Amino acid sequence: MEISEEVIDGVRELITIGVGHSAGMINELTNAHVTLTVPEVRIFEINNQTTPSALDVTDPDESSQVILSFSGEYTGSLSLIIPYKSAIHLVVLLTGEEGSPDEMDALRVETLIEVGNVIISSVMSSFSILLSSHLTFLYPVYRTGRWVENSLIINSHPKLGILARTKFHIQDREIEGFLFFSITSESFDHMQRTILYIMEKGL
Amino acid sequence: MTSDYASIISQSLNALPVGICIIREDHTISFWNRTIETWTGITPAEAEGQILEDIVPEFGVHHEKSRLKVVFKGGGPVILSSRFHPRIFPLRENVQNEGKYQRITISPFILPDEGAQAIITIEDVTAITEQVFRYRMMKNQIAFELEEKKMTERALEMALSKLNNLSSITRHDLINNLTIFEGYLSIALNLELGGKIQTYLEKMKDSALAMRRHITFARDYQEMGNAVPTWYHVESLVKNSGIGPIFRDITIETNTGNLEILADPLIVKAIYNLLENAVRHGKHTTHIMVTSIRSPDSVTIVLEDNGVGVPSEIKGRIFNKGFGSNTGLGLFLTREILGITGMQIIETGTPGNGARFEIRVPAGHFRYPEEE
Repeated sequence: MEISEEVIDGVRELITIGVGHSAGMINELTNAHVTLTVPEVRIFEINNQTTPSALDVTDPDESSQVILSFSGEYTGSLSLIIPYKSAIHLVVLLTGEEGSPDEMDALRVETLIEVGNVIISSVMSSFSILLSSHLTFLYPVYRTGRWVENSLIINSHPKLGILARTKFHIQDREIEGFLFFSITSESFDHMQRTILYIMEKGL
Repeated sequence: MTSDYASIISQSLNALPVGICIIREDHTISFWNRTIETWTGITPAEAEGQILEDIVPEFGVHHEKSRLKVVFKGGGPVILSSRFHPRIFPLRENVQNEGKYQRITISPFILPDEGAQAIITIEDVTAITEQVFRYRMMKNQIAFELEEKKMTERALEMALSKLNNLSSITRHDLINNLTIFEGYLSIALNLELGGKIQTYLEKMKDSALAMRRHITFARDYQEMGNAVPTWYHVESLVKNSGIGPIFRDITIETNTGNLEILADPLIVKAIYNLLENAVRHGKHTTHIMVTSIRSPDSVTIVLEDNGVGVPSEIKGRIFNKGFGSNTGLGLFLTREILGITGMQIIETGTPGNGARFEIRVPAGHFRYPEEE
Protein backbone atom coordinates (compact mmCIF):
# COMPACT_ATOMS: atom_id res chain seq x y z
CA MET A 1 0.00 0.00 0.00
CA GLU A 2 1.40 3.35 -1.08
CA ILE A 3 0.91 6.22 1.33
CA SER A 4 2.28 9.60 0.36
CA GLU A 5 4.74 11.45 2.58
CA GLU A 6 2.25 14.35 2.80
CA VAL A 7 -0.36 12.09 4.37
CA ILE A 8 2.15 10.60 6.82
CA ASP A 9 3.27 14.15 7.71
CA GLY A 10 -0.34 15.23 8.15
CA VAL A 11 -1.14 12.30 10.43
CA ARG A 12 2.08 12.86 12.40
CA GLU A 13 1.22 16.54 12.83
CA LEU A 14 -2.31 15.83 14.02
CA ILE A 15 -1.05 13.25 16.55
CA THR A 16 1.71 15.60 17.72
CA ILE A 17 -0.76 18.47 18.18
CA GLY A 18 -3.13 16.23 20.15
CA VAL A 19 -0.37 14.72 22.29
CA GLY A 20 1.16 18.15 22.92
CA HIS A 21 -2.20 19.50 24.01
CA SER A 22 -2.72 16.53 26.32
CA ALA A 23 0.70 17.09 27.95
CA GLY A 24 -0.46 20.56 29.00
CA MET A 25 -3.66 19.10 30.45
CA ILE A 26 -1.78 16.37 32.34
CA ASN A 27 0.57 19.02 33.77
CA GLU A 28 -2.40 20.99 35.08
CA LEU A 29 -4.10 17.88 36.36
CA THR A 30 -1.17 16.37 38.21
CA ASN A 31 1.11 19.29 39.02
CA ALA A 32 3.93 17.08 37.72
CA HIS A 33 6.13 18.36 34.92
CA VAL A 34 5.32 16.02 32.07
CA THR A 35 6.69 16.21 28.56
CA LEU A 36 5.23 14.00 25.87
CA THR A 37 6.99 13.34 22.61
CA VAL A 38 6.09 11.32 19.53
CA PRO A 39 9.40 10.37 17.93
CA GLU A 40 7.93 8.08 15.30
CA VAL A 41 4.67 7.56 13.42
CA ARG A 42 4.14 4.60 11.11
CA ILE A 43 1.18 3.63 8.96
CA PHE A 44 0.74 0.05 7.84
CA GLU A 45 -1.82 -2.52 6.84
CA ILE A 46 -2.98 -4.92 9.55
CA ASN A 47 -2.76 -8.49 8.34
CA ASN A 48 -1.52 -11.84 9.59
CA GLN A 49 2.08 -10.70 9.18
CA THR A 50 1.53 -7.70 11.43
CA THR A 51 3.50 -8.83 14.44
CA PRO A 52 5.04 -6.62 17.10
CA SER A 53 8.53 -7.66 16.02
CA ALA A 54 7.73 -6.73 12.42
CA LEU A 55 6.54 -3.37 13.70
CA ASP A 56 9.63 -3.05 15.89
CA VAL A 57 7.56 -2.36 19.03
CA THR A 58 7.57 -4.04 22.41
CA ASP A 59 4.97 -6.68 23.09
CA PRO A 60 5.28 -7.57 26.75
CA ASP A 61 3.11 -10.42 28.08
CA GLU A 62 1.40 -7.87 30.29
CA SER A 63 0.57 -4.44 29.01
CA SER A 64 -1.94 -1.88 30.21
CA GLN A 65 -4.26 -0.65 27.47
CA VAL A 66 -6.76 2.19 27.47
CA ILE A 67 -8.98 1.84 24.43
CA LEU A 68 -11.54 4.18 22.92
CA SER A 69 -13.73 2.73 20.18
CA PHE A 70 -15.61 4.97 17.74
CA SER A 71 -17.76 4.74 14.63
CA GLY A 72 -19.16 7.11 12.02
CA GLU A 73 -17.06 8.78 9.34
CA TYR A 74 -14.16 6.90 10.89
CA THR A 75 -14.64 3.50 12.43
CA GLY A 76 -12.06 1.86 14.64
CA SER A 77 -10.30 2.44 17.91
CA LEU A 78 -7.50 4.46 19.43
CA SER A 79 -5.47 2.89 22.23
CA LEU A 80 -2.71 3.91 24.56
CA ILE A 81 -0.55 0.87 25.25
CA ILE A 82 2.11 0.83 27.97
CA PRO A 83 3.99 -2.17 29.42
CA TYR A 84 2.31 -3.13 32.72
CA LYS A 85 5.23 -2.27 35.05
CA SER A 86 5.87 1.00 33.22
CA ALA A 87 2.17 1.87 33.55
CA ILE A 88 2.39 1.43 37.34
CA HIS A 89 5.49 3.65 37.42
CA LEU A 90 3.71 6.25 35.31
CA VAL A 91 0.71 6.39 37.66
CA VAL A 92 2.95 6.51 40.73
CA LEU A 93 5.01 9.36 39.26
CA LEU A 94 1.91 11.29 38.23
CA THR A 95 0.16 10.92 41.57
CA GLY A 96 3.28 11.39 43.68
CA GLU A 97 2.58 8.22 45.66
CA GLU A 98 5.32 7.06 47.98
CA GLY A 99 7.03 3.70 47.83
CA SER A 100 7.34 1.45 44.82
CA PRO A 101 4.04 -0.37 44.34
CA ASP A 102 4.08 -3.56 42.34
CA GLU A 103 0.45 -3.84 41.29
CA MET A 104 -2.23 -1.92 39.48
CA ASP A 105 -5.03 -1.68 42.03
CA ALA A 106 -8.51 -0.31 41.26
CA LEU A 107 -7.54 3.30 42.01
CA ARG A 108 -4.43 3.15 39.84
CA VAL A 109 -6.47 1.65 37.00
CA GLU A 110 -8.95 4.51 37.29
CA THR A 111 -6.10 7.03 37.29
CA LEU A 112 -4.47 5.44 34.24
CA ILE A 113 -7.81 5.46 32.41
CA GLU A 114 -8.09 9.19 33.03
CA VAL A 115 -4.53 9.89 31.88
CA GLY A 116 -5.01 7.67 28.83
CA ASN A 117 -8.34 9.33 28.18
CA VAL A 118 -6.76 12.81 28.27
CA ILE A 119 -4.24 11.78 25.62
CA ILE A 120 -6.71 9.84 23.46
CA SER A 121 -9.39 12.55 23.64
CA SER A 122 -6.89 15.23 22.73
CA VAL A 123 -5.69 13.25 19.72
CA MET A 124 -9.29 12.50 18.67
CA SER A 125 -10.13 16.17 19.12
CA SER A 126 -7.17 17.06 16.93
CA PHE A 127 -8.36 14.66 14.21
CA SER A 128 -11.91 16.05 14.40
CA ILE A 129 -10.92 18.89 12.02
CA LEU A 130 -10.97 16.23 9.31
CA LEU A 131 -14.59 15.36 10.04
CA SER A 132 -17.81 16.80 8.76
CA SER A 133 -19.98 15.05 11.36
CA HIS A 134 -19.75 13.83 14.92
CA LEU A 135 -18.49 10.34 15.68
CA THR A 136 -20.22 7.97 18.04
CA PHE A 137 -18.02 6.82 20.91
CA LEU A 138 -18.06 3.99 23.39
CA TYR A 139 -16.73 4.59 26.90
CA PRO A 140 -12.97 4.13 27.23
CA VAL A 141 -12.08 0.71 28.63
CA TYR A 142 -9.05 -0.72 30.37
CA ARG A 143 -7.55 -4.06 29.36
CA THR A 144 -4.45 -6.00 30.29
CA GLY A 145 -2.56 -8.79 28.57
CA ARG A 146 -0.88 -8.90 25.18
CA TRP A 147 -2.17 -6.02 23.08
CA VAL A 148 -1.88 -7.95 19.80
CA GLU A 149 -4.39 -10.44 21.21
CA ASN A 150 -6.92 -7.80 22.17
CA SER A 151 -9.89 -8.10 19.88
CA LEU A 152 -10.87 -4.49 20.53
CA ILE A 153 -7.59 -3.39 18.99
CA ILE A 154 -6.92 -6.02 16.37
CA ASN A 155 -9.47 -8.18 14.61
CA SER A 156 -9.61 -10.35 11.53
CA HIS A 157 -10.96 -7.66 9.19
CA PRO A 158 -8.36 -6.03 6.98
CA LYS A 159 -7.63 -2.71 8.54
CA LEU A 160 -5.10 -0.02 8.73
CA GLY A 161 -2.88 0.75 11.68
CA ILE A 162 -1.25 3.99 12.68
CA LEU A 163 1.36 3.46 15.33
CA ALA A 164 2.81 6.44 17.20
CA ARG A 165 5.65 5.73 19.59
CA THR A 166 5.02 7.93 22.64
CA LYS A 167 7.49 8.91 25.34
CA PHE A 168 6.59 10.38 28.73
CA HIS A 169 9.33 12.36 30.46
CA ILE A 170 8.57 12.86 34.16
CA GLN A 171 11.09 13.70 36.89
CA ASP A 172 14.14 12.48 34.95
CA ARG A 173 12.36 9.28 34.09
CA GLU A 174 11.35 8.21 30.62
CA ILE A 175 8.41 5.88 30.11
CA GLU A 176 7.71 4.59 26.66
CA GLY A 177 4.46 3.34 25.24
CA PHE A 178 2.59 3.90 22.03
CA LEU A 179 -0.66 5.14 20.61
CA PHE A 180 -2.30 2.77 18.19
CA PHE A 181 -5.01 3.81 15.74
CA SER A 182 -6.82 0.87 14.24
CA ILE A 183 -9.26 1.95 11.52
CA THR A 184 -11.03 0.49 8.54
CA SER A 185 -9.54 0.93 5.08
CA GLU A 186 -12.52 3.08 4.08
CA SER A 187 -11.91 5.33 7.08
CA PHE A 188 -8.28 5.74 6.14
CA ASP A 189 -9.10 6.47 2.49
CA HIS A 190 -11.44 9.20 3.70
CA MET A 191 -8.82 10.50 6.15
CA GLN A 192 -6.21 10.53 3.40
CA ARG A 193 -8.41 12.43 0.99
CA THR A 194 -9.33 15.03 3.62
CA ILE A 195 -5.70 15.57 4.65
CA LEU A 196 -4.66 16.09 1.02
CA TYR A 197 -7.62 18.42 0.46
CA ILE A 198 -6.78 20.53 3.51
CA MET A 199 -3.13 20.68 2.48
CA GLU A 200 -4.11 21.92 -0.93
CA LYS A 201 -6.93 24.28 -0.04
CA GLY A 202 -6.25 25.11 3.58
CA LEU A 203 -8.72 24.84 6.44
CA MET B 1 -38.87 13.15 20.73
CA THR B 2 -42.50 12.65 21.84
CA SER B 3 -43.39 13.75 25.36
CA ASP B 4 -44.37 10.14 26.23
CA TYR B 5 -41.01 8.85 25.10
CA ALA B 6 -39.20 11.67 26.93
CA SER B 7 -41.13 10.81 30.08
CA ILE B 8 -40.13 7.14 29.87
CA ILE B 9 -36.47 8.08 29.38
CA SER B 10 -36.65 10.56 32.25
CA GLN B 11 -38.28 7.99 34.58
CA SER B 12 -35.67 5.39 33.64
CA LEU B 13 -32.79 7.77 34.29
CA ASN B 14 -34.33 8.64 37.64
CA ALA B 15 -34.40 4.98 38.63
CA LEU B 16 -30.66 4.46 38.10
CA PRO B 17 -28.30 4.29 41.11
CA VAL B 18 -25.88 6.71 39.46
CA GLY B 19 -26.13 10.45 39.26
CA ILE B 20 -27.08 11.69 35.78
CA CYS B 21 -26.99 15.22 34.45
CA ILE B 22 -27.48 16.22 30.82
CA ILE B 23 -26.19 19.52 29.46
CA ARG B 24 -26.47 21.34 26.14
CA GLU B 25 -23.50 22.73 24.23
CA ASP B 26 -23.95 26.09 26.03
CA HIS B 27 -23.69 24.14 29.35
CA THR B 28 -27.35 24.67 30.26
CA ILE B 29 -28.58 21.78 32.40
CA SER B 30 -31.49 20.00 30.67
CA PHE B 31 -31.81 17.03 33.04
CA TRP B 32 -30.87 16.39 36.67
CA ASN B 33 -31.82 12.98 38.08
CA ARG B 34 -33.09 11.96 41.49
CA THR B 35 -29.84 10.33 42.59
CA ILE B 36 -27.90 13.60 42.24
CA GLU B 37 -30.73 15.34 44.05
CA THR B 38 -30.29 12.88 46.95
CA TRP B 39 -26.54 13.44 47.10
CA THR B 40 -26.46 17.20 46.55
CA GLY B 41 -29.78 18.30 48.00
CA ILE B 42 -30.33 20.34 44.79
CA THR B 43 -33.69 19.59 43.18
CA PRO B 44 -34.22 19.19 39.41
CA ALA B 45 -36.31 22.35 39.51
CA GLU B 46 -33.39 24.28 40.98
CA ALA B 47 -30.81 22.83 38.56
CA GLU B 48 -32.56 22.47 35.20
CA GLY B 49 -32.27 25.55 33.01
CA GLN B 50 -29.24 26.77 34.94
CA ILE B 51 -25.63 26.89 33.69
CA LEU B 52 -23.67 23.85 34.89
CA GLU B 53 -20.82 25.95 36.35
CA ASP B 54 -23.32 27.90 38.52
CA ILE B 55 -24.67 24.72 40.10
CA VAL B 56 -21.41 22.72 40.08
CA PRO B 57 -18.66 25.35 40.51
CA GLU B 58 -15.88 22.75 40.05
CA PHE B 59 -16.64 22.74 36.33
CA GLY B 60 -15.58 26.39 36.24
CA VAL B 61 -12.07 25.40 37.37
CA HIS B 62 -9.61 25.53 34.51
CA HIS B 63 -8.77 21.88 34.00
CA GLU B 64 -12.30 20.53 34.43
CA LYS B 65 -13.48 23.28 32.06
CA SER B 66 -10.95 22.33 29.39
CA ARG B 67 -11.92 18.65 29.67
CA LEU B 68 -15.57 19.56 29.13
CA LYS B 69 -14.53 21.53 26.05
CA VAL B 70 -12.85 18.43 24.58
CA VAL B 71 -16.19 16.57 24.70
CA PHE B 72 -17.92 19.15 22.53
CA LYS B 73 -14.90 19.47 20.24
CA GLY B 74 -15.24 15.85 19.08
CA GLY B 75 -12.69 14.33 21.47
CA GLY B 76 -15.09 11.67 22.69
CA PRO B 77 -16.00 10.78 26.26
CA VAL B 78 -14.05 12.18 29.18
CA ILE B 79 -13.33 10.43 32.45
CA LEU B 80 -12.63 12.35 35.64
CA SER B 81 -11.12 9.93 38.14
CA SER B 82 -11.62 10.15 41.89
CA ARG B 83 -7.81 10.34 42.26
CA PHE B 84 -7.47 13.73 40.55
CA HIS B 85 -11.01 15.04 41.18
CA PRO B 86 -12.20 13.45 44.45
CA ARG B 87 -15.48 15.34 44.56
CA ILE B 88 -16.83 17.53 41.79
CA PHE B 89 -20.53 17.56 42.62
CA PRO B 90 -21.22 19.30 45.95
CA LEU B 91 -22.78 17.22 48.72
CA ARG B 92 -25.66 18.29 50.98
CA GLU B 93 -24.64 19.19 54.51
CA ASN B 94 -25.97 16.20 56.43
CA VAL B 95 -24.72 13.59 53.96
CA GLN B 96 -22.99 10.62 55.57
CA ASN B 97 -20.21 8.72 53.82
CA GLU B 98 -21.88 8.64 50.40
CA GLY B 99 -20.48 10.53 47.44
CA LYS B 100 -17.21 11.34 49.19
CA TYR B 101 -15.30 9.98 46.20
CA GLN B 102 -16.89 10.38 42.77
CA ARG B 103 -15.96 9.04 39.37
CA ILE B 104 -17.39 11.09 36.55
CA THR B 105 -17.78 10.33 32.88
CA ILE B 106 -18.91 12.86 30.32
CA SER B 107 -20.04 11.55 26.98
CA PRO B 108 -21.26 13.45 23.93
CA PHE B 109 -24.41 12.59 21.99
CA ILE B 110 -26.59 14.28 19.43
CA LEU B 111 -30.31 14.97 19.76
CA PRO B 112 -31.90 15.47 16.33
CA ASP B 113 -33.73 18.68 17.22
CA GLU B 114 -31.41 20.01 19.89
CA GLY B 115 -27.89 19.35 18.61
CA ALA B 116 -24.86 18.31 20.65
CA GLN B 117 -25.44 17.34 24.25
CA ALA B 118 -23.31 15.76 26.91
CA ILE B 119 -24.44 13.24 29.49
CA ILE B 120 -22.57 13.44 32.78
CA THR B 121 -22.72 10.32 34.98
CA ILE B 122 -21.53 10.35 38.56
CA GLU B 123 -20.64 7.09 40.28
CA ASP B 124 -20.19 6.94 44.03
CA VAL B 125 -16.86 5.10 44.45
CA THR B 126 -16.41 5.88 48.14
CA ALA B 127 -16.60 2.27 49.33
CA ILE B 128 -14.10 0.88 46.82
CA THR B 129 -11.75 3.84 47.20
CA GLU B 130 -11.66 3.51 50.98
CA GLN B 131 -11.22 -0.25 50.65
CA VAL B 132 -8.22 0.26 48.35
CA PHE B 133 -6.73 2.74 50.85
CA ARG B 134 -7.18 0.19 53.65
CA TYR B 135 -5.69 -2.54 51.47
CA ARG B 136 -2.68 -0.36 50.62
CA MET B 137 -2.19 0.48 54.29
CA MET B 138 -2.37 -3.20 55.19
CA LYS B 139 0.10 -4.06 52.43
CA ASN B 140 2.50 -1.36 53.59
CA GLN B 141 2.20 -2.61 57.16
CA ILE B 142 2.98 -6.18 56.05
CA ALA B 143 5.94 -4.97 53.99
CA PHE B 144 7.19 -3.00 57.00
CA GLU B 145 6.79 -5.98 59.33
CA LEU B 146 8.53 -8.26 56.84
CA GLU B 147 11.43 -5.85 56.62
CA GLU B 148 11.62 -5.70 60.42
CA LYS B 149 11.51 -9.49 60.58
CA LYS B 150 14.32 -9.72 58.04
CA MET B 151 16.40 -7.29 60.08
CA THR B 152 15.74 -9.31 63.25
CA GLU B 153 16.65 -12.50 61.40
CA ARG B 154 19.90 -10.96 60.19
CA ALA B 155 20.71 -9.81 63.74
CA LEU B 156 19.87 -13.26 65.13
CA GLU B 157 21.97 -14.97 62.47
CA MET B 158 24.89 -12.77 63.39
CA ALA B 159 24.42 -13.43 67.11
CA LEU B 160 24.11 -17.17 66.46
CA SER B 161 27.23 -17.17 64.34
CA LYS B 162 29.14 -15.38 67.12
CA LEU B 163 27.83 -17.80 69.76
CA ASN B 164 28.74 -20.79 67.57
CA ASN B 165 32.22 -19.43 67.05
CA LEU B 166 32.67 -18.78 70.76
CA SER B 167 31.30 -22.20 71.65
CA SER B 168 33.49 -23.92 69.05
CA ILE B 169 36.68 -22.15 70.19
CA THR B 170 35.89 -22.83 73.86
CA ARG B 171 35.21 -26.52 73.16
CA HIS B 172 38.40 -26.81 71.17
CA ASP B 173 40.49 -25.27 73.98
CA LEU B 174 38.72 -27.41 76.61
CA ILE B 175 39.40 -30.61 74.64
CA ASN B 176 43.07 -29.65 74.24
CA ASN B 177 43.47 -29.07 77.98
CA LEU B 178 41.40 -32.15 78.79
CA THR B 179 43.65 -34.27 76.57
CA ILE B 180 46.74 -32.97 78.43
CA PHE B 181 44.97 -33.59 81.75
CA GLU B 182 44.02 -37.16 80.72
CA GLY B 183 47.59 -37.79 79.54
CA TYR B 184 49.10 -36.83 82.90
CA LEU B 185 46.32 -38.77 84.62
CA SER B 186 47.23 -41.93 82.68
CA ILE B 187 50.89 -41.48 83.63
CA ALA B 188 49.90 -41.04 87.29
CA LEU B 189 47.61 -44.12 87.16
CA ASN B 190 50.39 -46.17 85.58
CA LEU B 191 52.62 -45.32 88.55
CA GLU B 192 50.23 -47.54 90.58
CA LEU B 193 50.53 -45.48 93.71
CA GLY B 194 47.85 -47.60 95.38
CA GLY B 195 45.63 -46.80 98.33
CA LYS B 196 43.36 -43.80 98.44
CA ILE B 197 45.45 -41.89 95.87
CA GLN B 198 44.85 -44.65 93.32
CA THR B 199 41.07 -44.53 94.02
CA TYR B 200 41.02 -40.72 93.65
CA LEU B 201 42.93 -40.97 90.37
CA GLU B 202 40.38 -43.54 89.07
CA LYS B 203 37.54 -41.20 90.03
CA MET B 204 39.33 -38.30 88.29
CA LYS B 205 39.59 -40.44 85.16
CA ASP B 206 35.81 -41.19 85.22
CA SER B 207 35.14 -37.52 85.75
CA ALA B 208 37.40 -36.56 82.81
CA LEU B 209 35.55 -39.07 80.61
CA ALA B 210 32.21 -37.55 81.63
CA MET B 211 33.59 -34.08 80.82
CA ARG B 212 34.61 -35.30 77.34
CA ARG B 213 31.07 -36.70 76.78
CA HIS B 214 29.53 -33.42 77.86
CA ILE B 215 31.74 -31.53 75.43
CA THR B 216 30.77 -33.94 72.63
CA PHE B 217 27.10 -33.48 73.53
CA ALA B 218 27.53 -29.70 73.41
CA ARG B 219 28.96 -30.02 69.88
CA ASP B 220 26.10 -32.28 68.73
CA TYR B 221 23.48 -30.03 70.31
CA GLN B 222 24.97 -26.98 68.62
CA GLU B 223 24.86 -28.68 65.23
CA MET B 224 21.18 -29.60 65.64
CA GLY B 225 18.91 -27.75 63.25
CA ASN B 226 21.81 -25.99 61.53
CA ALA B 227 21.52 -28.12 58.40
CA VAL B 228 18.49 -28.33 56.12
CA PRO B 229 16.40 -31.47 56.83
CA THR B 230 16.67 -34.13 54.13
CA TRP B 231 14.94 -37.41 53.27
CA TYR B 232 16.30 -40.61 54.85
CA HIS B 233 15.46 -44.18 53.90
CA VAL B 234 14.68 -45.72 57.31
CA GLU B 235 15.99 -49.22 56.54
CA SER B 236 19.36 -47.86 55.37
CA LEU B 237 19.46 -45.53 58.35
CA VAL B 238 19.05 -48.40 60.84
CA LYS B 239 21.51 -50.57 58.92
CA ASN B 240 24.19 -47.85 58.89
CA SER B 241 23.64 -46.89 62.52
CA GLY B 242 23.84 -50.44 63.90
CA ILE B 243 27.52 -50.86 63.08
CA GLY B 244 30.25 -51.25 65.71
CA PRO B 245 31.69 -53.74 68.23
CA ILE B 246 28.74 -53.17 70.59
CA PHE B 247 26.35 -54.72 68.03
CA ARG B 248 28.57 -57.72 67.25
CA ASP B 249 26.24 -60.27 68.91
CA ILE B 250 22.96 -58.47 68.15
CA THR B 251 20.55 -59.26 65.34
CA ILE B 252 18.98 -56.08 63.96
CA GLU B 253 15.97 -56.71 61.76
CA THR B 254 14.25 -53.92 59.84
CA ASN B 255 10.93 -54.18 58.07
CA THR B 256 9.96 -50.68 57.01
CA GLY B 257 9.95 -51.15 53.26
CA ASN B 258 10.58 -48.02 51.23
CA LEU B 259 9.61 -45.67 54.03
CA GLU B 260 11.55 -42.41 54.00
CA ILE B 261 11.44 -39.70 56.64
CA LEU B 262 12.36 -36.03 56.60
CA ALA B 263 14.94 -35.46 59.31
CA ASP B 264 17.88 -33.43 60.53
CA PRO B 265 21.20 -34.99 59.45
CA LEU B 266 21.83 -35.83 63.14
CA ILE B 267 19.09 -38.51 62.82
CA VAL B 268 21.97 -40.98 62.34
CA LYS B 269 23.09 -40.18 65.88
CA ALA B 270 19.52 -40.42 67.25
CA ILE B 271 19.01 -43.91 65.79
CA TYR B 272 22.45 -44.97 66.99
CA ASN B 273 21.53 -43.77 70.50
CA LEU B 274 18.33 -45.85 70.50
CA LEU B 275 20.13 -48.98 69.26
CA GLU B 276 23.01 -48.47 71.70
CA ASN B 277 20.52 -47.94 74.54
CA ALA B 278 18.80 -51.22 73.66
CA VAL B 279 22.11 -53.05 74.00
CA ARG B 280 23.63 -51.12 76.91
CA HIS B 281 20.55 -51.05 79.18
CA GLY B 282 18.81 -54.20 77.90
CA LYS B 283 21.45 -56.29 79.70
CA HIS B 284 20.70 -59.49 77.76
CA THR B 285 19.47 -58.01 74.45
CA THR B 286 20.12 -60.22 71.43
CA HIS B 287 17.48 -58.99 68.99
CA ILE B 288 16.27 -55.56 67.89
CA MET B 289 13.28 -55.21 65.57
CA VAL B 290 12.38 -52.04 63.64
CA THR B 291 8.92 -51.87 61.99
CA SER B 292 6.46 -49.19 60.95
CA ILE B 293 2.70 -48.72 61.31
CA ARG B 294 0.90 -46.47 58.84
CA SER B 295 -2.20 -44.48 59.73
CA PRO B 296 -4.06 -41.89 57.58
CA ASP B 297 -2.20 -38.86 58.95
CA SER B 298 1.07 -40.29 60.29
CA VAL B 299 3.51 -43.16 60.42
CA THR B 300 4.83 -44.71 63.61
CA ILE B 301 8.27 -46.28 63.58
CA VAL B 302 8.54 -48.96 66.28
CA LEU B 303 11.93 -49.96 67.63
CA GLU B 304 11.74 -52.87 70.13
CA ASP B 305 14.24 -55.20 71.76
CA ASN B 306 14.18 -58.36 73.87
CA GLY B 307 16.15 -56.90 76.79
CA VAL B 308 14.97 -56.21 80.31
CA GLY B 309 12.85 -53.22 79.32
CA VAL B 310 12.38 -49.89 81.07
CA PRO B 311 11.21 -50.12 84.70
CA SER B 312 7.78 -48.50 85.22
CA GLU B 313 9.07 -46.06 87.85
CA ILE B 314 11.47 -44.33 85.44
CA LYS B 315 9.44 -44.43 82.20
CA GLY B 316 8.32 -40.80 82.57
CA ARG B 317 11.82 -39.48 83.06
CA ILE B 318 14.03 -41.28 80.56
CA PHE B 319 13.94 -38.41 78.05
CA ASN B 320 14.85 -35.77 80.64
CA LYS B 321 18.23 -34.10 80.38
CA GLY B 322 20.68 -35.58 82.87
CA PHE B 323 18.62 -38.68 83.62
CA GLY B 324 20.24 -42.09 83.16
CA SER B 325 23.02 -44.33 84.23
CA ASN B 326 25.48 -43.25 81.53
CA THR B 327 25.79 -39.59 80.45
CA GLY B 328 22.12 -38.89 80.76
CA LEU B 329 22.17 -37.08 77.46
CA GLY B 330 21.51 -39.80 74.85
CA LEU B 331 17.72 -40.00 74.94
CA PHE B 332 17.37 -36.29 75.62
CA LEU B 333 19.44 -35.55 72.51
CA THR B 334 17.48 -38.18 70.54
CA ARG B 335 14.16 -36.53 71.38
CA GLU B 336 15.53 -33.09 70.46
CA ILE B 337 16.88 -34.31 67.10
CA LEU B 338 13.55 -35.97 66.22
CA GLY B 339 11.64 -32.88 67.36
CA ILE B 340 13.37 -30.66 64.76
CA THR B 341 11.15 -32.13 62.03
CA GLY B 342 8.08 -32.63 64.21
CA MET B 343 8.65 -36.27 65.22
CA GLN B 344 7.62 -37.40 68.71
CA ILE B 345 9.03 -40.31 70.68
CA ILE B 346 7.55 -42.30 73.57
CA GLU B 347 8.46 -45.55 75.32
CA THR B 348 5.63 -48.12 75.46
CA GLY B 349 7.41 -51.39 76.32
CA THR B 350 6.43 -53.81 79.13
CA PRO B 351 9.04 -53.99 81.89
CA GLY B 352 10.69 -57.39 81.81
CA ASN B 353 9.76 -57.98 78.16
CA GLY B 354 12.06 -55.45 76.49
CA ALA B 355 11.96 -51.77 75.58
CA ARG B 356 9.72 -50.43 72.82
CA PHE B 357 10.18 -46.97 71.39
CA GLU B 358 7.51 -45.46 69.14
CA ILE B 359 8.46 -42.55 66.89
CA ARG B 360 5.45 -40.75 65.40
CA VAL B 361 6.24 -39.07 62.06
CA PRO B 362 3.63 -36.42 61.04
CA ALA B 363 2.05 -36.10 57.60
CA GLY B 364 4.27 -34.41 55.06
CA HIS B 365 7.39 -35.64 56.82
CA PHE B 366 7.25 -39.21 55.51
CA ARG B 367 6.85 -40.73 52.06
CA TYR B 368 6.90 -44.00 50.17
CA PRO B 369 8.77 -43.26 46.91
CA GLU B 370 7.31 -46.19 44.97
CA GLU B 371 3.83 -44.69 45.44
CA GLU B 372 4.76 -41.31 43.92
